[in-house]
Amino acid sequence: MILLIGVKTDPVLRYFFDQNYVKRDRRVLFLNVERIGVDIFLSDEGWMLPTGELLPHSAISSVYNRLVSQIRNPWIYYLNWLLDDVYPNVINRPKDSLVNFSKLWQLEVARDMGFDIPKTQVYANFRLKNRDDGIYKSISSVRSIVKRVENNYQNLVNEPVLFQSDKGRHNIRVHLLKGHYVAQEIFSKEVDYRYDLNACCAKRCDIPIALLDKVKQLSTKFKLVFSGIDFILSNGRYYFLEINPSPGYAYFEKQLSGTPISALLYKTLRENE
Amino acid sequence: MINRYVRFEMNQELLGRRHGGKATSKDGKDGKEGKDDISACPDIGEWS
Repeated sequence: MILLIGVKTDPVLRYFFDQNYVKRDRRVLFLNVERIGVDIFLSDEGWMLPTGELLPHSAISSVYNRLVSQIRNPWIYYLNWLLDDVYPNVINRPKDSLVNFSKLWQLEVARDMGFDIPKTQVYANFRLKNRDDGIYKSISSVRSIVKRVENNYQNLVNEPVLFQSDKGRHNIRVHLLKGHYVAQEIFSKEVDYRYDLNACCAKRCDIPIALLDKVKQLSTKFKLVFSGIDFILSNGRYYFLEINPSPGYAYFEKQLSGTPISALLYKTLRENE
Repeated sequence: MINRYVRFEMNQELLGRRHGGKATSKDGKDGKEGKDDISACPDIGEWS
């Protein structure tokens, strides 16, 4: 069986399941984690489904893990262990998704691998003296809207905040799945194109082979089967911003013809059948 | 292979009515990344 694990309101999981080749596959089963402990139960043997039927752990061949919400309950801890150490072919394992917890660590590893990195500084408990022309964002995986420093009139920085030089608005998003990639470019007016409702569509584009090789190396280093990597292209240089272990790829794929990322994801999930 | 009616019932949740609610970003509407909640954080205009 191929498990899709997450919550029913996850738009990415819904989008993936909405592909005909996925929803018609009788080996695909959605496990809503919000039902665990309610009418779905976990044991050493397997999953106890609502009708009392047992789905043994040994019957799980692949998992698309969309366990991105922080649900604190013992069943989820147990599930995380299953995803980390028991089930085969998990995209991606929770322990490997921890790479998202520190952008600084990502940047350091990427820099050591030869990526171009925007000038980056982190301040905490600090009073800014000069307002430069850079941008700021969250240092962790907690969502923040990327904005320009000059538009924030608060001078005192309390918790750690990441400041970077502004490299422009030519965004490149690369989705990498087991060595295959789909790259798209997005031009925006806002610093953070996710919040720019007028941003131009994400057109498919090529990236240099040398950059692709490095992206593959980085993804391998972090043991990610599926990742979304963000760059800014400025003066011919690709500046690495971050790598996402749970990419919200649906938004990008909807702007392409066909479903190349979903198809790759499905193919990868079936590899262990 | 599990009972097809069980599978249908469980999978049906993903085919239900599209999630409503006002989205605050493209990514918040169409998919979140990372270890955080599905909804986008509110813009509170602070260093966070």
